[in-house]
Amino acid sequence: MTAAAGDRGNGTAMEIRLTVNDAERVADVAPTTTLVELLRDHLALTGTKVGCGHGECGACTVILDGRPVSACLVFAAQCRGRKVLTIEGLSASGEADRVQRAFVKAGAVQCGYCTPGMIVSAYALLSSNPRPSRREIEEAISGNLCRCTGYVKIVDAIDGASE
Amino acid sequence: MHDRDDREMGAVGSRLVRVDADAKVTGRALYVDDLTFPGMLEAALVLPGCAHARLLKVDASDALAMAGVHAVVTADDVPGENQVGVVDRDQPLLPSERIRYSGDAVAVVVAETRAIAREAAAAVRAETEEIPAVFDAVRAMEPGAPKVHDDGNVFLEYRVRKGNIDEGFEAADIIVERTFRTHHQEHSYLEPLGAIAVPEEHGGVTIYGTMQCPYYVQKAVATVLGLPLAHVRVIQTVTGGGFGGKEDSPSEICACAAVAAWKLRRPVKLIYTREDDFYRSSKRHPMTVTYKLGATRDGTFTAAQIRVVADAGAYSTLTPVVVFRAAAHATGPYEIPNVHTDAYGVYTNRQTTGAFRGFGQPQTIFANESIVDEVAEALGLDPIDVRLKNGLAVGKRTATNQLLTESVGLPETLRQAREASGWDAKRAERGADSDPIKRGIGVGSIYYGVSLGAKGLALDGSGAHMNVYRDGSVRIAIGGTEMGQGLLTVLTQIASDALGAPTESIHVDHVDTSVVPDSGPSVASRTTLMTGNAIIDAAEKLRATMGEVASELLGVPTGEITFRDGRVGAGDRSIAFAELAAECWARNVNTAADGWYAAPLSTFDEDGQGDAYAIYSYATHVAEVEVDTRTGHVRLVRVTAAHDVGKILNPTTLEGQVEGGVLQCAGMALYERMITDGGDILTPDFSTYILPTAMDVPEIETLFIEEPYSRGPFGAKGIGETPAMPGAVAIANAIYHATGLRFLELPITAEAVRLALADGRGR
Ligand code: FES
Ligand code: FES
Repeated sequence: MTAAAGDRGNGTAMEIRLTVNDAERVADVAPTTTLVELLRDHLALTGTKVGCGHGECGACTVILDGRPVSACLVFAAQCRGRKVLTIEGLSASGEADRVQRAFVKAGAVQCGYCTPGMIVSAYALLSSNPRPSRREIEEAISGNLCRCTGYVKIVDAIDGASE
Repeated sequence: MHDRDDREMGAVGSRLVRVDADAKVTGRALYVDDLTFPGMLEAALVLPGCAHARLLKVDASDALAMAGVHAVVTADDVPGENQVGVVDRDQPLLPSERIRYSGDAVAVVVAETRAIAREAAAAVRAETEEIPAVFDAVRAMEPGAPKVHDDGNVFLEYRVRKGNIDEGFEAADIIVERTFRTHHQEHSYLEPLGAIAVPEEHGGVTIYGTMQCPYYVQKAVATVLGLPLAHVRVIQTVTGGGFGGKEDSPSEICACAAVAAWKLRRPVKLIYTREDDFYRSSKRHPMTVTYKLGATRDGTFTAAQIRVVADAGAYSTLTPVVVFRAAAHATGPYEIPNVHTDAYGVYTNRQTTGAFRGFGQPQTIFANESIVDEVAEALGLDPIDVRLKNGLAVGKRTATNQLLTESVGLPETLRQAREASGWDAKRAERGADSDPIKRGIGVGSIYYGVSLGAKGLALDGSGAHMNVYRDGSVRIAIGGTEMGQGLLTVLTQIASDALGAPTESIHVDHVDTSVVPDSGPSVASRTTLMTGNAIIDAAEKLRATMGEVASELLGVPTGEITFRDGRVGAGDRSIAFAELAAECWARNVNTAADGWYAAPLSTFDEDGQGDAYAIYSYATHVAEVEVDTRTGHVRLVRVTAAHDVGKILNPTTLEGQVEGGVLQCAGMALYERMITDGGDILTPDFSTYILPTAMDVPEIETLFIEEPYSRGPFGAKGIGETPAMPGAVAIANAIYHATGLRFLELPITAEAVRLALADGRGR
């Protein structure tokens, strides 16, 4: 594997193995490579977005061992042996997940840049709380910024997917 | 302009699901940073961070010594003209002598990886010598202020003179005058600016990027590379939000990538960090607006005198167009017989300012709609009554003395917003004095000249290229950009009805400048109107040629042929659209057509008189707030948003645009302020620059009024900007209603409210 866009040139590359979207993956990463760089640059999973790189926008949200995390804040090396689920994993079977379908149906997508992270956060919420209140939904996605939609249709979509 | 009115509409007006939604929810949509090219390198910019300085030397030796660094590109490497100004030619791409603001970049570092490029950029040393700087536009106008450009800081002046201002104020029973201030607002599109430049074997370059205005980028890249336009191809990638912020700034980042790619003969990608984006992208203009309004006892406005000072930052970018709009609309949506407006664009050593939804108007709206409320209160009149009394309507004249002849939905937006919000009852309500939570309701109304108006005539045409394949499927190339607003979807609907072809058979592409002629910028709520009309034009040509073939086949006169619901013919004699397409192919009939639409002429003379814009959109927002007098916290409870859109093309995308706009208004009113200290931005990220989150969303009711525009596609007017305009002042007026506090500056943070209450202001 060649050096990928996100890597530092320095530092010793190390091999890590992890499970991404139910598949075993191996990659050579630098100690400073983040999980989002691993996904986007090494594993060609570009569905996960970067809006800030500092844990402030939620665009890079993925599920790590069942919990939503900002992939820009987690080092790839910390994910050794762990399980990662990304937006691509939600429709791995070729069929969109119900949260994805609900976003389409509710008109919750505009520019779409926040959408993968938003859907992953919603998926994590519904996995742990299948019937959240609107307030619980708003709280669960309060770390995911969206500048386009005003959140109304996003909350509608998650509400719709929970039924 | 098109003969479709007799047909009941099919796709237009429906809630067609967004055509790009599937790609976006699955992560398949490819934004610029998702693309890669063989041999591609990554770049980062060197920002010395000075507000105003002479640049003595750029020392790149340390950076060049780092492993993986390919080049450090400076002004010396620009093969063409080192210039990216959009309107005025005042902005070097990479300054070589003088730095005018902290966002100026002096070099582009190119390396194997992004991390190396960024590390190396930090290792480039710029030797500079500070010179005095100016950070306030009003101060910059004073004699003796440091000069940002040698010709002086005031580079722009518009005036509007209507009637006789002195007589107007003499006729008034009451005059209210105040000065209002607003600050930088950051677009905060979620996708940062980014670009890839790919040198082509034929000697040209192809640019991929996130942008609103590919033809601006094409021009800028051709200028810096010294290439003919034909050798610069710009392809817009899926764009993660714009709101005006991707109008001017993409020219700079694309030109930086292009110069680097040109030097190295390899593809170069440049993606801004969020901090780069804060430093280098254009913001909403900070403005100081003095507004003086006179009215008679019955609430009739007699005169308005307005002075607008707009902080352009270090380069003029779009200020000439933004301040023109501010000047033309500064009175607000009222018929006032005597108007005297002066508007100035002023250089400072701050971030550049350009387009942001509303385009210079939200700042003047904050002033005029606050003042209207003050006048109403002083006269003991209801704010909505006063607006209805003076508001624009068919047969009335604007501040530029333009006679409005059609499609003026303002009164209806006021009436419907009043009704739906329960205004009358809530306005009369007074909570108990002992209750620390004070409730208030406020209103704001606006008008917005759609498209570019008199200061953008050369840009105000748009094209489309429509290709019908022999199986009846249709592919359309356009010159307007989808940036999230839903353009591709509503254009699919328009094309479907215009051709009578099913929506599933139509595909509309993002812009490629090699296919469609220069269609101007995607700004000013013009894109649906302009591109929609261009598509209708192309469809009309295709209906004519394909209709002839159908006429021959069916033995029906061409005049009787209609295209609808996937069938072509008359009465019971018809064939499927797809079959007709195959028949045309078999007969060597051309089934591709170009469409074009040019905006009607508009005028604006030296005294600011004329038909400034062809058509206006109107909106009224009513905001309800709860102010906690213990903490100063303002909770936005409910917003009723009434918009005259001409014609609803797709209710879902419309609602989405309004809901997003309502929240941007809330941000402008309550939270968002870019704080600077000299050249430093103290809020260069989303933990310090506060955006509304899902927790801050009020209940939103959207109301659409359809006052059709005779030249709009199916009667539609623009909607892009208006949702982001009336809300901020409606909130400010609601806060006044709740507390008696009249704020003259935005945002109205909890701290500002608490301090004002502690000062004993308010009720
Ligand atoms: S990119 Fe990770 S939170 Fe913004
Ligand atoms: S849809 Fe654009 S940021 Fe959410």
